[in-house]
Amino acid sequence: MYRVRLRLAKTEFAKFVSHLETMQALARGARRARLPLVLTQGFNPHAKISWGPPLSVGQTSDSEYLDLFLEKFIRPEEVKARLNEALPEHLRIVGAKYVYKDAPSLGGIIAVASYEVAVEVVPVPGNDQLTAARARFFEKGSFEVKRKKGMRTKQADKAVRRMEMNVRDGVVELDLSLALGADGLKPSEVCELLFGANGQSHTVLAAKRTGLFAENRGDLVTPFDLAD
Amino acid sequence: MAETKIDSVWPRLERVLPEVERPGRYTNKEWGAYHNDFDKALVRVALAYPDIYEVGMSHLGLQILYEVLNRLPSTLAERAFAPWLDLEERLRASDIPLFSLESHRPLRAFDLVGFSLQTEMTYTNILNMLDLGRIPIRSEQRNEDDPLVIGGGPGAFNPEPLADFFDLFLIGEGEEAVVDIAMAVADHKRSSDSGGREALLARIAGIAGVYVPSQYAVDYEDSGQVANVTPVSAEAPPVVQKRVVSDLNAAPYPTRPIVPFMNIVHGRATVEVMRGCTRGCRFCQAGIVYRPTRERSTKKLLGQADAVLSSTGHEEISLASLSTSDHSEIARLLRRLSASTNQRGVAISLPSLRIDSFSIGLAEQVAGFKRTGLTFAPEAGTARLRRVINKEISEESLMEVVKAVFETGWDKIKLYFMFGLPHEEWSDLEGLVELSRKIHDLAVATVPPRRKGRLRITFNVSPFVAKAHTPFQWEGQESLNELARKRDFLKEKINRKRVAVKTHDLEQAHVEAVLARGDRRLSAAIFRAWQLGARFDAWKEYFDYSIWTRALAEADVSPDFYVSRARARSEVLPWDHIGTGVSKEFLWEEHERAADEAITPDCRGGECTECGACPVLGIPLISCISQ
Repeated sequence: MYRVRLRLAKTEFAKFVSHLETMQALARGARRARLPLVLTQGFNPHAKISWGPPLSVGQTSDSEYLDLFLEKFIRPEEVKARLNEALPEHLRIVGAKYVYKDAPSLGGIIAVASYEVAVEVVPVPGNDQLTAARARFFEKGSFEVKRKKGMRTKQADKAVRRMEMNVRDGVVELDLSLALGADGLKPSEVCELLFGANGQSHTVLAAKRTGLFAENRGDLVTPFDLAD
Repeated sequence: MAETKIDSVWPRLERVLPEVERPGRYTNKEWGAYHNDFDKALVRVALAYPDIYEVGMSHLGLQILYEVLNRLPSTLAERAFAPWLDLEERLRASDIPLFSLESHRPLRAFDLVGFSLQTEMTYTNILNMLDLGRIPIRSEQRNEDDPLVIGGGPGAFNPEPLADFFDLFLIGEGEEAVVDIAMAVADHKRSSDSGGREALLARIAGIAGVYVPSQYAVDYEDSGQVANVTPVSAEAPPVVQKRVVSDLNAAPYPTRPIVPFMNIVHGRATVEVMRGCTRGCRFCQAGIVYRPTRERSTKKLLGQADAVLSSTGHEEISLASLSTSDHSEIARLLRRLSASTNQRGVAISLPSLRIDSFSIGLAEQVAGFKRTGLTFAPEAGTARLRRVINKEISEESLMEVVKAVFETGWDKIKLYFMFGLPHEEWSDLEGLVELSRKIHDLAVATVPPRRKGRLRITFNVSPFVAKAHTPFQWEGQESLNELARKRDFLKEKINRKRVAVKTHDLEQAHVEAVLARGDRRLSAAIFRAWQLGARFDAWKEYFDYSIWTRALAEADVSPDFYVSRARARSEVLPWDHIGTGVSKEFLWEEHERAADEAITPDCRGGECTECGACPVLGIPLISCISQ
C-alpha cells in the first residue's frame, strides 16, 4: 500500500460544491483516471481516501489536502497529471508527494488555516480605523460565538494567530491565520466580531483559504513538509 | 430569438446564491457538460426540466437529447431547471430572469425552449419557468423575439391541457426528431428571405411527429364531450403519428454523460437495455406509447456500459428499461457484465423485477439489491383482479418467489399495489390484507432467527389513475370519499407492526386524474392554479389542494366530468388525434377483456395480439434472439 498526499485547489464555480460532494468528485475522478485505488473492507467497498478539514461552501482554496491510498507506486507527477485530466475544471491538483503509509491522519495533524478575505464594510473604514479595530479585538480577549450545539467561548489569542488588514479600492482585505477545532474561529465570525459588533454593516465578498498547517515544534509547517 | 446580445445573469446570480439552499443546483462546469460559445452558436436550444436539478438530472431522456444536440454543428443545447422556492423569491425580488445552467443566459434568449412532460404534477412549474424566463405564458401572446416553446415526453401523448402554452409538441421518441427540428431552425436562420416566427413554425410543423395545437380546432357537444378535433390547415394531418427509433443499436446514446457534483436522485451510470414493453398491463400507458418492444444487443450494451463507467467513474451501473428482466438475453448480459464490474468494484442495479421472470440466479448478480432489497409490483391483491389488469400471476407463484427471496438471504422486500382499480370489489381488498398476512407468516417461517430482526416487508399502495391511450381510458374512477374509505380500510386491517404500509396523497392523485384525461379547457385551470401560487405539485409538502379546487371552479371545470365519468365507446376522446400506432379498437377490446378477467399474452411469446403498432409504425419487434 502506498499513500500519496495531494494538494487541491478549488476555484470559482467549485466554491458552491460542498465538502461531501468534493470528496465524491475526487473519488470519481480517481476512478476515471484509472488509478489503482485501495478499496476499503466490508460490505460496501469504496476507494480509501482520507481528507483534511472541510472547506465551507462559498470559499475557494489554494490549499486543501487529501491522501489517496494506492496499490501500486505511481510517480507523483503522473498521479497529478492523470487526475487533472480526469477532474472537472475548477478542481485542480497542485501538488503531490508520497508520505509514510502509517503517518497520522490529515484531520489529526492540521491545526491552523490561513485565509484571504475581502469584505465590503459600510461606511468604508480608513487604515487607522482598522488598526484600532484590531487592537480592540485583542484587548477584548474573549468572545461568545454561536455554534450548532450552543454558545461557545473563544480566546482571541488562541483562535487568531495572525491578523493583517488594509483597505484597497474601498474593500477591506484581511489576511488571517486561524486555529481549527475547538479553539478556533471561522473567518465569517472574525468579520462579525470586528465589524458587526461595532454596528458597521459588512458583507463578505470573497473568502479564500490560502494554506493549511500542522504544528511542528512550535513552527507552522505544511502537510507536505511533514512528509520528510 | 432576439438578435441583440443578451448577457449572462451570472454576476447578479452569484450575489444571491450564498443565501439559498444547495447553490450547486444553479451552477455548472460538471464533468461531461458542454460549455460551447453561446454567441457563436447558430441554433440555441434550452432543454428545460420542470423540477429541480436533482430530479431533472436523473432523467435519461435529458442526457440523450443534450448529447444529440450538442454534437450537431453550430448547435448549442443548455439545461434549465425549476428554481427552488428560495431562489425564485430572490429572482423575482432582484428582477433576475430564469437562466440556463451552462452560460446563465435567460430562457428568452434561446431559439427553442423544450420542456420534458413527465407528469401532470409539473405543469404549474412549466408555467412558472416560462414566466420567470420572460417568455409570455400563452403562446398566442408570443411575438417575433420569443422562442418557440416545445413539449415532449410521455405527457405529450395527451398534450391538450397544455395546448394554450405550447407552440408545438413532439410526439414520441426525440433523439432523431430533435435533429430534424434543429436543422429546420438552422435552415431558417441561414436563409435571408425566410419570414418570421410563423414561417419557422410552419417549417417545423412539417416534420413527422410534430403536433401544432393551433392548427387544430376543438368543438364540444352540449354534454361537454369533445365533438371533433379538426385540422384547420391543409398540411395538418388528422392524426399526428408518434416518432419511433427503429434501430436502438444504431441510435445515439450518451457514453460521456454529465456527472453531477450533487447527490441527485439516481447518481449512477445508466444503459438503456430496451424500449417498449408488450406485457399489456391494462392500466399502463408506457406499455402502449412505447410500442413496439426493441432491444439493444448484448454486445452493444456491454460496450456502452464500459464506455459510460470509464468516462464517469461511477460506482454503480443501472440497466434501465420498462421491464429489464424481460430482455431476451438478460441472464447472459448480467453474467458478462458482472464479470467486468466485479473487477472494477462497480455494483449493478435493476429498477425492479417481474415476478414471472424472476430467478434467484438473476437477482444474485445484482449487488444493489443486497442493500436495498427486492421490489415487485403485483399491483392487485387477488389473482382475479390481477387477471382484470392482465398481470397473470397466481398466488402460488407469488408466494414461491417471496419464499425464494427470503431463503436466499434477503430480508427486505417491497411490493407495489393499487386500489380503486376497475372491477375491484371489497373482496379484492380483503385479499390484499390476507396477502400481507400470508407474506409475513411465510417470511417468519423462512428467515432464520438471527435475521428476523432485520426483516422489512413494505406494501406501497397507491390510488389508480386512468391514463389516456390505455384500455382503462374509458373508465369512471371512484370518488375521493370512496378511495379514502378503501385506503383507510387497508391501513386499518393490515397489521402495520408486521408489514409497513406506504400510501399516497389522494388529493394529488385526484388532480393528476383530472389532468391526465383532460382537454383544452383545462388550460385555464392550470393557469389559474399557477397564478394562485401552485408550485411543485408533485411534492407532497408543497401540493395545495385548495388552490386546485378553487382554480378548477373559477375555470368552470367540473373535476367529476373528467374523473368519475365513464366514457362511451363512440365518444371522441381529446387525444384521439395523437397516434401511438396502437388502434382504438385494440384498446376497447382489452377494455372488454378486463371485464371478463381474460388474459392477453405478451406478443413476444409468438402470437400477435394485433394491436397495430408494428404495421402502422413500420417496425417489427426486435429482440436479440431474432437478430
